Amino acid sequence: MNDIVFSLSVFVGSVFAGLIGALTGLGGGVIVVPLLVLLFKVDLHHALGASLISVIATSSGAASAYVREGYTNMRIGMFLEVATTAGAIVGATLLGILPKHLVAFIFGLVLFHSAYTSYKSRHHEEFVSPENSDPLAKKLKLTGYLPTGEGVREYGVKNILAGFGLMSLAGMLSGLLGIGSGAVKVLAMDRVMRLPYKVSTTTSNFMIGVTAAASAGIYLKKGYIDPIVSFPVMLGVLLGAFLGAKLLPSAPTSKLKLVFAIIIALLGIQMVLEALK
Amino acid sequence: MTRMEILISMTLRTGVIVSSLLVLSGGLWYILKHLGTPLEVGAVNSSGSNAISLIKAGILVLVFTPIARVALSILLFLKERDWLFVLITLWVLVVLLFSLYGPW
Repeated sequence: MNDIVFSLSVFVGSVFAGLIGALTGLGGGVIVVPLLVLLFKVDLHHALGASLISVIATSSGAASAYVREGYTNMRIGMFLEVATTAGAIVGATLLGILPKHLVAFIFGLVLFHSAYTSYKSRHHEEFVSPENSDPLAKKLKLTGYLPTGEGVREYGVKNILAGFGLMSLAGMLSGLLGIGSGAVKVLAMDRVMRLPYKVSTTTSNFMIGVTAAASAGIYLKKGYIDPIVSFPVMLGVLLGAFLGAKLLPSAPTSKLKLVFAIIIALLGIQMVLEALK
Repeated sequence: MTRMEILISMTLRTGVIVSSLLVLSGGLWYILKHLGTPLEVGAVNSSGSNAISLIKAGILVLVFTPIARVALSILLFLKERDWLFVLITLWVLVVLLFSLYGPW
Protein backbone atom coordinates (compact mmCIF):
# COMPACT_ATOMS: atom_id res chain seq x y z
CA MET A 1 0.00 0.00 0.00
CA ASN A 2 1.48 3.40 -0.80
CA ASP A 3 1.20 6.53 1.27
CA ILE A 4 -1.69 8.21 -0.50
CA VAL A 5 -3.93 5.16 -0.46
CA PHE A 6 -3.07 4.50 3.19
CA SER A 7 -3.64 8.12 4.27
CA LEU A 8 -6.90 8.45 2.37
CA SER A 9 -8.40 5.19 3.62
CA VAL A 10 -7.35 5.86 7.19
CA PHE A 11 -8.84 9.35 6.85
CA VAL A 12 -12.20 7.99 5.69
CA GLY A 13 -12.32 5.40 8.48
CA SER A 14 -11.41 8.07 11.00
CA VAL A 15 -14.29 10.33 9.92
CA PHE A 16 -16.61 7.51 10.96
CA ALA A 17 -14.70 7.02 14.24
CA GLY A 18 -14.97 10.73 15.07
CA LEU A 19 -18.67 10.78 14.26
CA ILE A 20 -19.46 7.81 16.52
CA GLY A 21 -17.05 9.05 19.19
CA ALA A 22 -18.66 12.49 19.36
CA LEU A 23 -22.22 11.12 19.41
CA THR A 24 -21.60 8.50 22.13
CA GLY A 25 -19.17 10.41 24.37
CA LEU A 26 -16.68 7.54 24.08
CA GLY A 27 -14.08 9.24 21.89
CA GLY A 28 -12.82 7.93 18.57
CA GLY A 29 -10.40 5.41 20.07
CA VAL A 30 -12.92 2.58 20.34
CA ILE A 31 -13.04 2.41 16.55
CA VAL A 32 -9.59 3.73 15.61
CA VAL A 33 -7.64 0.94 17.34
CA PRO A 34 -9.38 -2.07 15.73
CA LEU A 35 -9.51 -0.20 12.41
CA LEU A 36 -5.76 0.42 12.33
CA VAL A 37 -4.72 -2.95 13.74
CA LEU A 38 -7.11 -5.26 11.87
CA LEU A 39 -7.60 -3.43 8.59
CA PHE A 40 -4.34 -1.58 8.08
CA LYS A 41 -1.95 -3.89 9.97
CA VAL A 42 -0.50 -1.06 12.03
CA ASP A 43 1.20 -2.46 15.15
CA LEU A 44 -0.66 -2.07 18.42
CA HIS A 45 1.61 0.55 19.97
CA HIS A 46 1.32 2.97 17.07
CA ALA A 47 -2.42 2.25 16.88
CA LEU A 48 -2.81 3.12 20.58
CA GLY A 49 -0.79 6.30 20.03
CA ALA A 50 -3.02 7.35 17.14
CA SER A 51 -6.06 6.41 19.22
CA LEU A 52 -4.91 8.74 21.98
CA ILE A 53 -4.64 11.57 19.44
CA SER A 54 -8.11 10.70 18.11
CA VAL A 55 -9.59 10.92 21.63
CA ILE A 56 -8.13 14.39 22.20
CA ALA A 57 -9.29 15.49 18.73
CA THR A 58 -12.85 14.16 19.17
CA SER A 59 -13.08 15.65 22.64
CA SER A 60 -11.82 19.13 21.77
CA GLY A 61 -13.52 19.30 18.37
CA ALA A 62 -16.98 18.26 19.56
CA ALA A 63 -16.75 20.02 22.93
CA SER A 64 -16.21 23.39 21.28
CA ALA A 65 -19.75 22.98 19.88
CA TYR A 66 -21.38 21.16 22.82
CA VAL A 67 -20.18 23.72 25.37
CA ARG A 68 -21.52 26.59 23.27
CA GLU A 69 -24.88 24.91 22.72
CA GLY A 70 -25.31 24.30 26.44
CA TYR A 71 -25.25 20.48 26.49
CA THR A 72 -22.02 20.03 28.44
CA ASN A 73 -22.23 20.55 32.19
CA MET A 74 -18.75 21.97 32.63
CA ARG A 75 -18.93 22.26 36.43
CA ILE A 76 -19.79 18.57 36.77
CA GLY A 77 -17.08 17.71 34.24
CA MET A 78 -14.39 19.65 36.06
CA PHE A 79 -15.52 18.38 39.47
CA LEU A 80 -15.34 14.77 38.26
CA GLU A 81 -11.95 15.33 36.60
CA VAL A 82 -10.53 15.45 40.14
CA ALA A 83 -11.64 11.84 40.56
CA THR A 84 -10.51 10.61 37.14
CA THR A 85 -7.05 12.17 37.40
CA ALA A 86 -6.54 10.84 40.95
CA GLY A 87 -7.77 7.43 39.77
CA ALA A 88 -5.38 7.49 36.81
CA ILE A 89 -2.41 7.95 39.15
CA VAL A 90 -3.59 5.08 41.35
CA GLY A 91 -4.18 2.94 38.24
CA ALA A 92 -0.67 3.62 36.96
CA THR A 93 0.86 2.63 40.30
CA LEU A 94 -1.24 -0.55 40.39
CA LEU A 95 0.16 -1.53 36.99
CA GLY A 96 1.93 -4.81 37.57
CA ILE A 97 0.31 -5.36 40.98
CA LEU A 98 -3.30 -5.97 39.94
CA PRO A 99 -3.78 -8.87 37.51
CA LYS A 100 -4.48 -6.99 34.27
CA HIS A 101 -6.20 -9.95 32.60
CA LEU A 102 -8.66 -10.40 35.43
CA VAL A 103 -9.48 -6.68 35.48
CA ALA A 104 -10.04 -6.69 31.71
CA PHE A 105 -12.27 -9.75 32.00
CA ILE A 106 -14.46 -8.31 34.76
CA PHE A 107 -14.64 -4.97 32.97
CA GLY A 108 -15.70 -6.79 29.79
CA LEU A 109 -18.57 -8.50 31.64
CA VAL A 110 -19.63 -5.17 33.18
CA LEU A 111 -19.72 -3.67 29.69
CA PHE A 112 -21.92 -6.50 28.36
CA HIS A 113 -24.34 -5.97 31.21
CA SER A 114 -24.35 -2.19 30.67
CA ALA A 115 -24.89 -2.63 26.94
CA TYR A 116 -27.92 -4.78 27.70
CA THR A 117 -29.46 -2.37 30.22
CA SER A 118 -28.75 0.63 27.96
CA TYR A 119 -30.50 -1.16 25.12
CA LYS A 120 -33.48 -2.10 27.29
CA SER A 121 -33.95 1.37 28.74
CA ARG A 122 -33.42 3.24 25.48
CA HIS A 123 -37.00 4.56 25.22
CA HIS A 124 -37.09 5.71 28.79
CA GLU A 125 -35.79 9.04 30.00
CA GLU A 126 -36.89 11.24 32.86
CA PHE A 127 -35.10 14.22 34.29
CA VAL A 128 -34.38 14.51 37.99
CA SER A 129 -36.04 17.73 39.12
CA PRO A 130 -33.66 20.25 40.69
CA GLU A 131 -35.59 20.08 44.01
CA ASN A 132 -34.88 16.34 44.23
CA SER A 133 -31.16 16.80 43.68
CA ASP A 134 -28.46 15.49 45.97
CA PRO A 135 -28.01 18.21 48.65
CA LEU A 136 -24.37 18.44 47.60
CA ALA A 137 -25.49 19.59 44.14
CA LYS A 138 -26.72 22.90 45.52
CA LYS A 139 -23.48 23.59 47.34
CA LEU A 140 -21.39 22.86 44.29
CA LYS A 141 -23.93 24.42 41.87
CA LEU A 142 -24.04 21.33 39.69
CA THR A 143 -27.62 21.47 38.39
CA GLY A 144 -28.00 22.79 34.88
CA TYR A 145 -30.14 23.64 31.88
CA LEU A 146 -30.47 21.60 28.73
CA PRO A 147 -31.90 22.50 25.31
CA THR A 148 -34.60 19.97 24.32
CA GLY A 149 -37.22 19.73 21.61
CA GLU A 150 -39.66 21.44 23.99
CA GLY A 151 -37.37 24.32 24.91
CA VAL A 152 -34.76 24.69 27.65
CA ARG A 153 -35.32 22.47 30.70
CA GLU A 154 -33.71 22.52 34.12
CA TYR A 155 -32.34 19.26 35.52
CA GLY A 156 -30.97 18.02 38.83
CA VAL A 157 -28.26 15.54 39.86
CA LYS A 158 -28.39 12.49 42.14
CA ASN A 159 -25.75 10.47 44.05
CA ILE A 160 -22.82 12.79 43.56
CA LEU A 161 -20.44 10.92 45.85
CA ALA A 162 -21.21 7.54 44.25
CA GLY A 163 -20.62 9.11 40.83
CA PHE A 164 -17.36 10.57 42.09
CA GLY A 165 -16.28 7.11 43.29
CA LEU A 166 -17.12 5.50 39.95
CA MET A 167 -15.15 8.22 38.18
CA SER A 168 -12.07 7.30 40.22
CA LEU A 169 -12.62 3.76 39.01
CA ALA A 170 -12.89 5.08 35.43
CA GLY A 171 -9.56 6.82 35.88
CA MET A 172 -7.98 3.68 37.33
CA LEU A 173 -9.23 1.57 34.46
CA SER A 174 -7.84 3.97 31.87
CA GLY A 175 -4.53 4.04 33.72
CA LEU A 176 -4.49 0.25 33.91
CA LEU A 177 -6.04 -0.85 30.62
CA GLY A 178 -5.33 2.13 28.38
CA ILE A 179 -8.90 2.38 27.08
CA GLY A 180 -12.49 2.28 28.12
CA SER A 181 -12.71 5.23 30.46
CA GLY A 182 -15.34 7.00 28.36
CA ALA A 183 -17.79 4.13 28.81
CA VAL A 184 -17.58 4.25 32.62
CA LYS A 185 -17.89 8.05 32.53
CA VAL A 186 -21.10 7.96 30.51
CA LEU A 187 -22.54 5.14 32.63
CA ALA A 188 -21.68 6.87 35.92
CA MET A 189 -23.34 10.11 34.88
CA ASP A 190 -26.34 8.53 33.16
CA ARG A 191 -27.10 5.64 35.54
CA VAL A 192 -25.79 6.75 38.91
CA MET A 193 -26.01 10.54 38.83
CA ARG A 194 -29.20 10.41 36.73
CA LEU A 195 -28.16 13.20 34.40
CA PRO A 196 -30.05 13.60 31.11
CA TYR A 197 -28.47 11.28 28.53
CA LYS A 198 -27.15 14.01 26.22
CA VAL A 199 -25.62 15.81 29.20
CA SER A 200 -23.86 12.57 30.22
CA THR A 201 -22.39 11.90 26.78
CA THR A 202 -21.33 15.48 26.03
CA THR A 203 -19.83 15.93 29.51
CA SER A 204 -17.94 12.64 29.10
CA ASN A 205 -16.76 13.92 25.73
CA PHE A 206 -15.60 17.12 27.45
CA MET A 207 -13.61 15.14 30.05
CA ILE A 208 -11.90 12.46 27.96
CA GLY A 209 -9.59 15.00 26.30
CA VAL A 210 -8.03 15.77 29.68
CA THR A 211 -7.70 12.07 30.56
CA ALA A 212 -6.01 11.40 27.22
CA ALA A 213 -3.74 14.45 27.41
CA ALA A 214 -2.46 13.10 30.75
CA SER A 215 -1.20 9.94 29.05
CA ALA A 216 0.20 11.79 26.02
CA GLY A 217 3.53 12.53 27.72
CA ILE A 218 4.53 8.92 28.10
CA TYR A 219 3.26 8.01 24.61
CA LEU A 220 5.20 10.83 22.98
CA LYS A 221 8.33 9.91 24.87
CA LYS A 222 8.11 6.27 23.83
CA GLY A 223 7.57 7.26 20.20
CA TYR A 224 4.15 5.58 19.97
CA ILE A 225 2.61 8.64 18.33
CA ASP A 226 3.72 8.18 14.73
CA PRO A 227 3.19 11.34 12.63
CA ILE A 228 2.40 9.38 9.46
CA VAL A 229 -0.29 7.28 11.11
CA SER A 230 -1.58 10.11 13.27
CA PHE A 231 -2.10 12.80 10.66
CA PRO A 232 -4.93 11.19 8.64
CA VAL A 233 -6.45 9.89 11.89
CA MET A 234 -6.48 13.31 13.48
CA LEU A 235 -7.88 15.15 10.45
CA GLY A 236 -10.52 12.51 9.80
CA VAL A 237 -11.62 12.26 13.40
CA LEU A 238 -11.93 16.06 13.65
CA LEU A 239 -14.17 16.21 10.60
CA GLY A 240 -16.26 13.37 12.01
CA ALA A 241 -16.48 15.04 15.42
CA PHE A 242 -17.76 18.29 13.87
CA LEU A 243 -20.37 16.33 11.90
CA GLY A 244 -21.36 14.45 15.06
CA ALA A 245 -21.74 17.69 17.00
CA LYS A 246 -24.01 19.00 14.22
CA LEU A 247 -26.16 15.85 14.38
CA LEU A 248 -26.49 15.52 18.16
CA PRO A 249 -29.12 18.22 18.83
CA SER A 250 -31.69 16.62 16.53
CA ALA A 251 -30.70 12.99 17.20
CA PRO A 252 -33.32 11.10 19.27
CA THR A 253 -31.95 9.83 22.59
CA SER A 254 -33.22 6.29 21.91
CA LYS A 255 -31.08 6.06 18.75
CA LEU A 256 -28.03 7.43 20.56
CA LYS A 257 -28.49 4.86 23.34
CA LEU A 258 -28.75 2.09 20.76
CA VAL A 259 -25.46 3.11 19.12
CA PHE A 260 -23.87 3.42 22.57
CA ALA A 261 -25.06 -0.08 23.53
CA ILE A 262 -23.61 -1.59 20.34
CA ILE A 263 -20.27 0.15 20.77
CA ILE A 264 -19.80 -0.79 24.44
CA ALA A 265 -20.77 -4.39 23.62
CA LEU A 266 -17.97 -4.38 21.02
CA LEU A 267 -15.66 -2.86 23.60
CA GLY A 268 -16.70 -5.65 25.98
CA ILE A 269 -15.73 -8.27 23.38
CA GLN A 270 -12.39 -6.48 22.90
CA MET A 271 -11.80 -6.61 26.68
CA VAL A 272 -12.72 -10.29 27.09
CA LEU A 273 -10.50 -11.25 24.12
CA GLU A 274 -7.68 -9.22 25.65
CA ALA A 275 -8.20 -11.09 28.93
CA LEU A 276 -8.13 -14.51 27.30
CA LYS A 277 -4.98 -13.80 25.30
CA MET B 1 -24.54 31.40 27.05
CA THR B 2 -22.18 32.42 29.83
CA ARG B 3 -18.86 34.19 29.31
CA MET B 4 -17.09 31.07 30.53
CA GLU B 5 -18.82 28.90 27.94
CA ILE B 6 -17.91 31.27 25.14
CA LEU B 7 -14.25 31.58 26.18
CA ILE B 8 -13.74 27.85 26.71
CA SER B 9 -15.45 26.99 23.46
CA MET B 10 -13.26 29.54 21.66
CA THR B 11 -10.08 28.13 23.23
CA LEU B 12 -10.94 24.59 22.16
CA ARG B 13 -11.89 25.70 18.66
CA THR B 14 -8.72 27.76 18.22
CA GLY B 15 -6.52 24.88 19.38
CA VAL B 16 -8.24 22.45 17.07
CA ILE B 17 -8.06 24.75 14.05
CA VAL B 18 -4.40 25.72 14.53
CA SER B 19 -3.33 22.11 15.08
CA SER B 20 -5.29 20.79 12.11
CA LEU B 21 -3.84 23.48 9.80
CA LEU B 22 -0.32 22.50 10.88
CA VAL B 23 -1.04 18.80 10.51
CA LEU B 24 -2.82 19.27 7.18
CA SER B 25 0.03 21.27 5.62
CA GLY B 26 2.64 18.86 6.95
CA GLY B 27 0.64 15.85 5.79
CA LEU B 28 0.05 17.18 2.27
CA TRP B 29 3.71 18.14 1.96
CA TYR B 30 4.75 14.66 3.06
CA ILE B 31 2.39 12.95 0.62
CA LEU B 32 3.51 15.07 -2.34
CA LYS B 33 7.14 14.33 -1.54
CA HIS B 34 6.56 10.59 -1.22
CA LEU B 35 4.28 10.01 -4.21
CA GLY B 36 4.40 6.34 -5.05
CA THR B 37 6.89 5.21 -2.42
CA PRO B 38 5.85 2.32 -0.20
CA LEU B 39 4.69 2.97 3.34
CA GLU B 40 6.95 2.57 6.36
CA VAL B 41 5.17 3.05 9.65
CA GLY B 42 7.48 3.86 12.55
CA ALA B 43 10.51 4.42 10.35
CA VAL B 44 10.01 8.16 9.94
CA ASN B 45 10.06 9.03 13.62
CA SER B 46 13.78 9.59 13.73
CA SER B 47 14.17 11.33 10.39
CA GLY B 48 13.20 14.95 10.99
CA SER B 49 12.03 16.29 7.64
CA ASN B 50 10.20 19.63 7.53
CA ALA B 51 6.90 17.96 6.71
CA ILE B 52 7.18 15.63 9.69
CA SER B 53 8.14 18.53 11.97
CA LEU B 54 4.98 20.39 10.93
CA ILE B 55 2.82 17.34 11.76
CA LYS B 56 4.57 16.93 15.11
CA ALA B 57 4.02 20.60 15.94
CA GLY B 58 0.33 20.22 15.13
CA ILE B 59 0.06 17.16 17.38
CA LEU B 60 1.70 19.08 20.23
CA VAL B 61 -0.77 21.95 19.82
CA LEU B 62 -3.61 19.41 19.94
CA VAL B 63 -2.25 17.78 23.12
CA PHE B 64 -1.97 21.18 24.79
CA THR B 65 -5.50 22.25 23.83
CA PRO B 66 -7.32 20.53 26.74
CA ILE B 67 -4.51 21.63 29.07
CA ALA B 68 -5.01 25.24 27.98
CA ARG B 69 -8.73 24.78 28.62
CA VAL B 70 -8.05 23.70 32.22
CA ALA B 71 -5.59 26.58 32.76
CA LEU B 72 -8.09 29.09 31.41
CA SER B 73 -10.87 27.79 33.66
CA ILE B 74 -8.66 28.39 36.72
CA LEU B 75 -8.43 32.06 35.74
CA LEU B 76 -12.16 32.30 35.07
CA PHE B 77 -13.05 30.74 38.45
CA LEU B 78 -10.55 33.10 40.14
CA LYS B 79 -12.36 36.02 38.57
CA GLU B 80 -15.69 34.69 39.83
CA ARG B 81 -14.13 34.15 43.30
CA ASP B 82 -15.33 30.57 43.21
CA TRP B 83 -12.53 29.30 45.44
CA LEU B 84 -13.60 25.67 45.59
CA PHE B 85 -13.53 25.41 41.80
CA VAL B 86 -10.23 27.28 41.66
CA LEU B 87 -8.82 24.49 43.82
CA ILE B 88 -10.52 21.78 41.78
CA THR B 89 -9.20 23.02 38.43
CA LEU B 90 -5.78 23.77 39.91
CA TRP B 91 -5.53 20.15 41.12
CA VAL B 92 -6.45 18.88 37.66
CA LEU B 93 -3.80 21.10 36.03
CA VAL B 94 -1.10 19.98 38.49
CA VAL B 95 -1.89 16.30 37.89
CA LEU B 96 -1.95 16.87 34.14
CA LEU B 97 1.43 18.55 34.10
CA PHE B 98 2.82 15.93 36.46
CA SER B 99 1.74 13.10 34.19
CA LEU B 100 3.00 14.95 31.09
CA TYR B 101 6.45 15.64 32.47
CA GLY B 102 6.41 12.94 35.14
CA PRO B 103 9.01 10.34 35.95
CA TRP B 104 8.92 8.47 32.65
